[in-house]
Amino acid sequence: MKISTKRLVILAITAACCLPAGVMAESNSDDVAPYSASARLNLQVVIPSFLYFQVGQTGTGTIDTIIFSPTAGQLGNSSSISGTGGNAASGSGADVVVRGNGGQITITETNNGGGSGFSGGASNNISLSEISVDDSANASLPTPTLSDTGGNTSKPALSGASQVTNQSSTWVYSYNNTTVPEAGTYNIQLIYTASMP
Amino acid sequence: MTRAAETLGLQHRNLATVRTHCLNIRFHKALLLAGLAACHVEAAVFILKDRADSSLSIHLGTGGPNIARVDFDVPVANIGDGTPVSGSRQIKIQLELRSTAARPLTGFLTVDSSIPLSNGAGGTLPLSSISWLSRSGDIPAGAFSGTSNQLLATFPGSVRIMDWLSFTFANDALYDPGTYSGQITFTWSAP
Repeated sequence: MKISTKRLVILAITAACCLPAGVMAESNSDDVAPYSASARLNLQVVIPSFLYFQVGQTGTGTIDTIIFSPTAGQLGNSSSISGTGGNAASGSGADVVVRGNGGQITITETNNGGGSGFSGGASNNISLSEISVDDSANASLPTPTLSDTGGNTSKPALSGASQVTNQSSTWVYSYNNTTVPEAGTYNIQLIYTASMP
Repeated sequence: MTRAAETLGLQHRNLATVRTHCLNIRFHKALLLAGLAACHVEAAVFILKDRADSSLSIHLGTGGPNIARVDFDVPVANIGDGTPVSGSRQIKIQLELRSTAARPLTGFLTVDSSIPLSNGAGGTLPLSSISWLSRSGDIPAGAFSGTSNQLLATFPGSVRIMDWLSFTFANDALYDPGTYSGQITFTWSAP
Protein backbone atom coordinates (compact mmCIF):
# COMPACT_ATOMS: atom_id res chain seq x y z
CA MET A 1 0.00 0.00 0.00
CA LYS A 2 1.40 3.33 -0.94
CA ILE A 3 1.55 6.05 1.66
CA SER A 4 1.56 9.65 0.53
CA THR A 5 4.28 11.87 1.71
CA LYS A 6 2.00 14.22 3.51
CA ARG A 7 0.36 11.51 5.48
CA LEU A 8 3.65 10.02 6.42
CA VAL A 9 4.90 13.29 7.79
CA ILE A 10 1.74 13.86 9.76
CA LEU A 11 2.04 10.44 11.27
CA ALA A 12 5.62 11.15 12.21
CA ILE A 13 4.75 14.41 13.88
CA THR A 14 1.81 12.86 15.70
CA ALA A 15 3.99 10.05 16.95
CA ALA A 16 6.60 12.48 18.17
CA CYS A 17 4.02 14.49 20.05
CA CYS A 18 2.67 11.38 21.76
CA LEU A 19 6.01 10.26 23.19
CA PRO A 20 6.15 10.72 26.99
CA ALA A 21 7.46 14.11 27.90
CA GLY A 22 10.76 13.68 29.63
CA VAL A 23 12.20 10.27 30.53
CA MET A 24 10.70 7.09 31.97
CA ALA A 25 12.09 5.92 35.32
CA GLU A 26 15.78 6.87 35.32
CA SER A 27 17.54 7.50 32.02
CA ASN A 28 20.73 9.30 31.19
CA SER A 29 23.03 9.65 28.21
CA ASP A 30 26.41 11.09 27.35
CA ASP A 31 27.93 12.08 24.02
CA VAL A 32 31.15 13.68 25.26
CA ALA A 33 34.24 11.58 25.93
CA PRO A 34 34.94 10.02 28.36
CA TYR A 35 31.43 8.66 28.17
CA SER A 36 29.54 7.88 31.37
CA ALA A 37 25.89 7.82 32.38
CA SER A 38 24.22 6.58 35.56
CA ALA A 39 20.78 5.44 36.64
CA ARG A 40 19.52 4.74 40.14
CA LEU A 41 17.34 2.05 41.65
CA ASN A 42 15.64 2.19 45.05
CA LEU A 43 15.49 -0.90 47.24
CA GLN A 44 13.33 -1.48 50.32
CA VAL A 45 13.25 -4.44 52.72
CA VAL A 46 10.43 -4.64 55.28
CA ILE A 47 11.20 -6.75 58.36
CA PRO A 48 8.42 -7.20 60.92
CA SER A 49 8.84 -7.78 64.63
CA PHE A 50 8.63 -11.40 65.75
CA LEU A 51 9.22 -13.80 68.66
CA TYR A 52 9.88 -17.53 68.37
CA PHE A 53 10.20 -19.83 71.39
CA GLN A 54 10.66 -23.59 71.48
CA VAL A 55 11.13 -26.02 74.38
CA GLY A 56 11.40 -29.64 73.32
CA GLN A 57 10.52 -30.88 69.85
CA THR A 58 9.02 -28.57 67.28
CA GLY A 59 5.34 -28.50 66.48
CA THR A 60 2.43 -26.55 67.85
CA GLY A 61 0.63 -28.43 70.58
CA THR A 62 3.39 -31.03 70.91
CA ILE A 63 4.38 -31.42 74.58
CA ASP A 64 7.31 -33.64 75.47
CA THR A 65 7.16 -35.74 78.61
CA ILE A 66 10.34 -36.58 80.52
CA ILE A 67 9.92 -39.57 82.85
CA PHE A 68 12.10 -40.25 85.89
CA SER A 69 11.93 -43.82 87.19
CA PRO A 70 14.21 -44.43 90.19
CA THR A 71 14.59 -48.08 91.11
CA ALA A 72 13.64 -49.33 94.49
CA GLY A 73 17.31 -49.54 95.36
CA GLN A 74 17.91 -45.95 94.35
CA LEU A 75 14.91 -44.39 95.98
CA GLY A 76 15.85 -41.59 98.35
CA ASN A 77 19.63 -42.14 98.19
CA SER A 78 20.27 -38.75 96.51
CA SER A 79 21.66 -40.34 93.40
CA SER A 80 20.74 -38.18 90.41
CA ILE A 81 18.21 -39.88 88.16
CA SER A 82 18.18 -39.11 84.43
CA GLY A 83 14.97 -39.07 82.50
CA THR A 84 13.63 -40.56 79.31
CA GLY A 85 11.24 -39.26 76.71
CA GLY A 86 12.75 -35.88 76.05
CA ASN A 87 13.93 -34.90 72.59
CA ALA A 88 17.53 -34.30 73.65
CA ALA A 89 20.32 -35.55 75.93
CA SER A 90 19.31 -39.17 75.48
CA GLY A 91 15.79 -38.37 76.57
CA SER A 92 16.62 -36.37 79.67
CA GLY A 93 16.70 -33.00 77.98
CA ALA A 94 14.82 -30.55 75.80
CA ASP A 95 16.09 -28.45 72.95
CA VAL A 96 15.41 -24.79 73.60
CA VAL A 97 15.36 -22.08 70.96
CA VAL A 98 14.49 -18.43 71.45
CA ARG A 99 14.63 -15.89 68.62
CA GLY A 100 13.25 -12.40 68.35
CA ASN A 101 14.03 -8.91 67.20
CA GLY A 102 12.05 -6.65 69.51
CA GLY A 103 14.40 -6.18 72.42
CA GLN A 104 15.21 -8.04 75.66
CA ILE A 105 13.29 -11.29 76.00
CA THR A 106 12.28 -12.61 79.43
CA ILE A 107 11.53 -16.29 80.08
CA THR A 108 9.22 -16.99 83.02
CA GLU A 109 8.60 -20.43 84.55
CA THR A 110 5.37 -21.61 86.06
CA ASN A 111 3.49 -24.91 86.31
CA ASN A 112 0.12 -26.52 86.82
CA GLY A 113 0.91 -27.90 90.25
CA GLY A 114 -1.06 -25.27 92.09
CA GLY A 115 1.94 -24.40 94.21
CA SER A 116 2.41 -27.97 95.46
CA GLY A 117 4.82 -29.35 92.90
CA PHE A 118 4.32 -32.82 91.38
CA SER A 119 0.92 -34.27 92.18
CA GLY A 120 0.54 -37.98 92.86
CA GLY A 121 -3.07 -37.90 93.83
CA ALA A 122 -4.69 -37.18 97.19
CA SER A 123 -2.10 -35.29 99.24
CA ASN A 124 0.96 -36.85 97.68
CA ASN A 125 3.29 -34.25 96.24
CA ILE A 126 6.90 -33.92 95.25
CA SER A 127 8.37 -30.44 95.27
CA LEU A 128 9.95 -29.09 92.11
CA SER A 129 13.04 -28.51 94.19
CA GLU A 130 13.70 -32.19 93.47
CA ILE A 131 14.30 -31.31 89.79
CA SER A 132 17.63 -29.88 88.63
CA VAL A 133 18.14 -28.31 85.24
CA ASP A 134 21.58 -28.19 83.63
CA ASP A 135 21.75 -25.22 81.20
CA SER A 136 25.53 -25.18 80.76
CA ALA A 137 25.27 -25.96 77.03
CA ASN A 138 24.83 -22.22 76.39
CA ALA A 139 25.48 -19.66 79.08
CA SER A 140 23.63 -17.08 76.98
CA LEU A 141 20.37 -18.99 77.35
CA PRO A 142 19.97 -19.69 81.09
CA THR A 143 16.96 -21.51 82.46
CA PRO A 144 14.79 -19.89 85.10
CA THR A 145 15.00 -21.74 88.41
CA LEU A 146 12.02 -24.06 88.79
CA SER A 147 9.74 -23.40 91.77
CA ASP A 148 6.45 -24.77 93.05
CA THR A 149 4.85 -21.35 92.96
CA GLY A 150 6.36 -20.28 89.64
CA GLY A 151 7.39 -16.80 88.59
CA ASN A 152 11.16 -17.07 88.38
CA THR A 153 12.71 -15.56 85.27
CA SER A 154 15.80 -15.65 83.12
CA LYS A 155 16.98 -13.43 80.26
CA PRO A 156 18.67 -14.76 77.14
CA ALA A 157 21.48 -12.61 75.85
CA LEU A 158 20.89 -10.11 73.07
CA SER A 159 23.07 -10.11 69.96
CA GLY A 160 25.36 -7.15 70.46
CA ALA A 161 23.82 -3.69 70.42
CA SER A 162 20.84 -4.72 68.35
CA GLN A 163 17.38 -5.78 69.47
CA VAL A 164 17.97 -9.26 68.14
CA THR A 165 18.02 -12.46 70.21
CA ASN A 166 19.09 -15.68 68.57
CA GLN A 167 19.93 -18.34 71.14
CA SER A 168 19.61 -22.09 71.33
CA SER A 169 20.59 -24.65 73.93
CA THR A 170 19.70 -27.95 75.54
CA TRP A 171 18.29 -27.96 79.05
CA VAL A 172 18.96 -31.28 80.77
CA TYR A 173 16.61 -32.33 83.58
CA SER A 174 17.42 -34.73 86.41
CA TYR A 175 15.59 -35.94 89.51
CA ASN A 176 17.55 -35.22 92.69
CA ASN A 177 16.03 -38.20 94.54
CA THR A 178 16.58 -36.83 98.07
CA THR A 179 13.25 -37.98 99.50
CA VAL A 180 11.24 -41.19 99.64
CA PRO A 181 7.73 -40.34 98.40
CA GLU A 182 4.82 -42.66 98.55
CA ALA A 183 4.63 -45.10 95.68
CA GLY A 184 2.82 -43.79 92.65
CA THR A 185 3.05 -41.70 89.51
CA TYR A 186 3.56 -38.01 90.05
CA ASN A 187 2.90 -35.52 87.24
CA ILE A 188 3.45 -31.87 86.61
CA GLN A 189 3.46 -29.67 83.53
CA LEU A 190 6.12 -26.99 83.34
CA ILE A 191 5.11 -23.85 81.48
CA TYR A 192 7.79 -21.55 80.10
CA THR A 193 6.68 -18.20 78.72
CA ALA A 194 8.91 -15.96 76.61
CA SER A 195 7.90 -12.32 76.42
CA MET A 196 9.33 -9.43 74.44
CA PRO A 197 8.59 -5.68 74.64
CA MET B 1 8.21 25.01 -25.85
CA THR B 2 9.62 21.71 -26.18
CA ARG B 3 12.18 22.48 -23.63
CA ALA B 4 9.52 23.89 -21.40
CA ALA B 5 7.38 20.96 -22.00
CA GLU B 6 10.26 18.75 -21.44
CA THR B 7 11.04 20.64 -18.33
CA LEU B 8 7.50 20.39 -17.23
CA GLY B 9 7.51 16.81 -18.06
CA LEU B 10 10.67 16.41 -16.18
CA GLN B 11 9.16 18.17 -13.25
CA HIS B 12 6.25 15.89 -13.29
CA ARG B 13 8.53 12.98 -13.41
CA ASN B 14 10.58 14.44 -10.70
CA LEU B 15 7.52 14.96 -8.59
CA ALA B 16 6.59 11.36 -9.04
CA THR B 17 10.16 10.34 -8.57
CA VAL B 18 10.65 12.57 -5.60
CA ARG B 19 7.50 11.31 -4.00
CA THR B 20 9.02 7.94 -4.05
CA HIS B 21 12.24 9.31 -2.76
CA CYS B 22 10.40 11.19 -0.07
CA LEU B 23 9.26 7.89 1.24
CA ASN B 24 12.85 6.79 1.35
CA ILE B 25 14.16 10.12 2.44
CA ARG B 26 15.88 8.83 5.54
CA PHE B 27 18.05 6.49 3.51
CA HIS B 28 19.41 8.59 0.65
CA LYS B 29 21.41 11.59 1.69
CA ALA B 30 22.25 12.72 -1.84
CA LEU B 31 18.62 13.07 -2.83
CA LEU B 32 17.52 14.57 0.41
CA LEU B 33 17.59 18.26 -0.28
CA ALA B 34 16.16 17.92 -3.79
CA GLY B 35 13.48 15.68 -2.45
CA LEU B 36 12.51 18.16 0.22
CA ALA B 37 12.21 21.01 -2.22
CA ALA B 38 10.11 19.12 -4.72
CA CYS B 39 7.85 17.47 -2.19
CA HIS B 40 7.34 20.63 -0.20
CA VAL B 41 7.97 18.72 3.01
CA GLU B 42 8.07 21.50 5.53
CA ALA B 43 7.10 19.83 8.75
CA ALA B 44 10.24 17.79 9.37
CA VAL B 45 13.93 18.42 9.00
CA PHE B 46 16.33 15.54 8.82
CA ILE B 47 19.99 16.09 9.45
CA LEU B 48 22.35 13.42 8.32
CA LYS B 49 26.07 13.41 8.75
CA ASP B 50 28.68 11.40 7.00
CA ARG B 51 29.92 10.09 10.37
CA ALA B 52 28.08 9.30 13.61
CA ASP B 53 29.18 10.66 16.96
CA SER B 54 29.98 8.28 19.78
CA SER B 55 27.54 8.24 22.62
CA LEU B 56 25.99 6.01 25.24
CA SER B 57 22.82 5.86 27.25
CA ILE B 58 21.36 3.90 30.14
CA HIS B 59 17.71 3.39 31.00
CA LEU B 60 16.55 1.72 34.21
CA GLY B 61 12.96 0.84 34.92
CA THR B 62 9.73 1.39 33.00
CA GLY B 63 7.08 4.05 33.09
CA GLY B 64 6.86 7.35 34.89
CA PRO B 65 9.45 9.90 35.85
CA ASN B 66 10.24 8.44 39.27
CA ILE B 67 13.16 6.22 40.16
CA ALA B 68 12.06 2.58 40.11
CA ARG B 69 11.85 0.71 43.42
CA VAL B 70 11.98 -2.97 44.32
CA ASP B 71 10.36 -4.07 47.61
CA PHE B 72 11.05 -7.16 49.70
CA ASP B 73 8.40 -8.06 52.29
CA VAL B 74 9.74 -10.72 54.66
CA PRO B 75 6.98 -13.03 55.99
CA VAL B 76 6.81 -13.25 59.79
CA ALA B 77 7.03 -17.04 59.66
CA ASN B 78 10.32 -16.91 57.77
CA ILE B 79 12.23 -14.03 59.34
CA GLY B 80 15.90 -14.74 59.16
CA ASP B 81 15.53 -18.45 58.44
CA GLY B 82 17.24 -18.41 55.05
CA THR B 83 14.09 -18.61 52.95
CA PRO B 84 14.79 -16.26 50.01
CA VAL B 85 12.38 -13.39 49.49
CA SER B 86 11.72 -12.32 45.90
CA GLY B 87 11.57 -8.67 44.90
CA SER B 88 8.24 -7.07 44.07
CA ARG B 89 9.01 -6.48 40.38
CA GLN B 90 11.50 -7.09 37.62
CA ILE B 91 13.52 -4.12 36.48
CA LYS B 92 14.17 -3.43 32.81
CA ILE B 93 17.65 -2.22 31.96
CA GLN B 94 18.58 -0.82 28.56
CA LEU B 95 22.11 0.05 27.50
CA GLU B 96 23.19 1.64 24.24
CA LEU B 97 26.68 2.37 23.08
CA ARG B 98 27.49 3.89 19.73
CA SER B 99 31.09 3.95 18.70
CA THR B 100 32.85 4.57 15.42
CA ALA B 101 35.15 2.28 13.51
CA ALA B 102 37.88 4.86 13.86
CA ARG B 103 37.55 4.85 17.64
CA PRO B 104 35.98 1.64 18.87
CA LEU B 105 34.71 1.73 22.42
CA THR B 106 33.93 -0.85 25.07
CA GLY B 107 31.16 -0.24 27.54
CA PHE B 108 31.51 -1.11 31.20
CA LEU B 109 28.46 -1.62 33.41
CA THR B 110 29.20 -1.12 37.10
CA VAL B 111 27.11 -0.70 40.23
CA ASP B 112 27.61 1.18 43.48
CA SER B 113 26.11 -0.71 46.43
CA SER B 114 28.46 0.69 49.07
CA ILE B 115 25.81 2.33 51.25
CA PRO B 116 23.76 -0.27 53.19
CA LEU B 117 20.02 -0.02 53.54
CA SER B 118 18.94 1.83 56.68
CA ASN B 119 15.86 1.70 58.90
CA GLY B 120 16.35 5.25 60.04
CA ALA B 121 16.91 4.16 63.64
CA GLY B 122 20.52 3.09 63.45
CA GLY B 123 19.86 -0.34 61.99
CA THR B 124 21.48 -1.24 58.68
CA LEU B 125 21.13 -4.09 56.24
CA PRO B 126 24.03 -4.86 53.89
CA LEU B 127 23.29 -4.89 50.17
CA SER B 128 25.42 -8.02 49.87
CA SER B 129 22.29 -9.87 50.99
CA ILE B 130 20.57 -9.02 47.68
CA SER B 131 21.25 -10.87 44.45
CA TRP B 132 19.79 -10.88 40.93
CA LEU B 133 19.08 -13.02 37.93
CA SER B 134 18.71 -11.69 34.40
CA ARG B 135 16.18 -12.89 31.87
CA SER B 136 18.34 -12.94 28.78
CA GLY B 137 21.64 -13.57 30.49
CA ASP B 138 23.34 -10.61 28.83
CA ILE B 139 24.03 -9.28 32.31
CA PRO B 140 25.45 -12.18 34.35
CA ALA B 141 23.62 -13.15 37.53
CA GLY B 142 25.27 -12.12 40.77
CA ALA B 143 25.00 -10.45 44.14
CA PHE B 144 25.83 -6.93 45.20
CA SER B 145 29.29 -6.77 46.73
CA GLY B 146 28.66 -3.73 48.92
CA THR B 147 31.40 -1.82 47.11
CA SER B 148 31.30 1.39 45.11
CA ASN B 149 32.51 0.11 41.74
CA GLN B 150 31.44 -3.47 41.15
CA LEU B 151 31.90 -4.55 37.52
CA LEU B 152 28.85 -6.39 36.22
CA ALA B 153 29.51 -6.73 32.48
CA THR B 154 31.42 -5.35 29.50
CA PHE B 155 30.16 -4.99 25.94
CA PRO B 156 32.10 -3.88 22.87
CA GLY B 157 30.41 -1.09 20.94
CA SER B 158 28.31 -0.42 19.08
CA VAL B 159 25.78 -2.37 21.09
CA ARG B 160 22.26 -2.24 22.35
CA ILE B 161 21.40 -4.36 25.37
CA MET B 162 17.95 -4.90 26.86
CA ASP B 163 17.50 -7.18 29.83
CA TRP B 164 15.21 -7.74 32.82
CA LEU B 165 16.63 -8.15 36.33
CA SER B 166 14.90 -10.14 39.09
CA PHE B 167 16.13 -9.47 42.63
CA THR B 168 16.17 -11.73 45.71
CA PHE B 169 16.80 -10.97 49.39
CA ALA B 170 18.73 -13.79 51.12
CA ASN B 171 16.91 -13.42 54.46
CA ASP B 172 19.64 -15.42 56.23
CA ALA B 173 20.13 -13.20 59.26
CA LEU B 174 18.06 -11.49 61.92
CA TYR B 175 17.67 -7.72 61.88
CA ASP B 176 15.88 -5.21 64.04
CA PRO B 177 12.35 -4.67 62.79
CA GLY B 178 11.62 -1.84 60.42
CA THR B 179 11.68 -0.69 56.84
CA TYR B 180 15.18 -0.66 55.42
CA SER B 181 15.56 1.66 52.43
CA GLY B 182 18.38 2.70 50.20
CA GLN B 183 19.56 3.28 46.69
CA ILE B 184 22.05 1.73 44.29
CA THR B 185 23.50 3.37 41.21
CA PHE B 186 24.24 1.64 37.91
CA THR B 187 26.86 3.35 35.77
CA TRP B 188 27.37 2.67 32.08
CA SER B 189 30.69 4.07 30.86
CA ALA B 190 33.10 3.91 27.96
CA PRO B 191 36.36 5.48 29.04
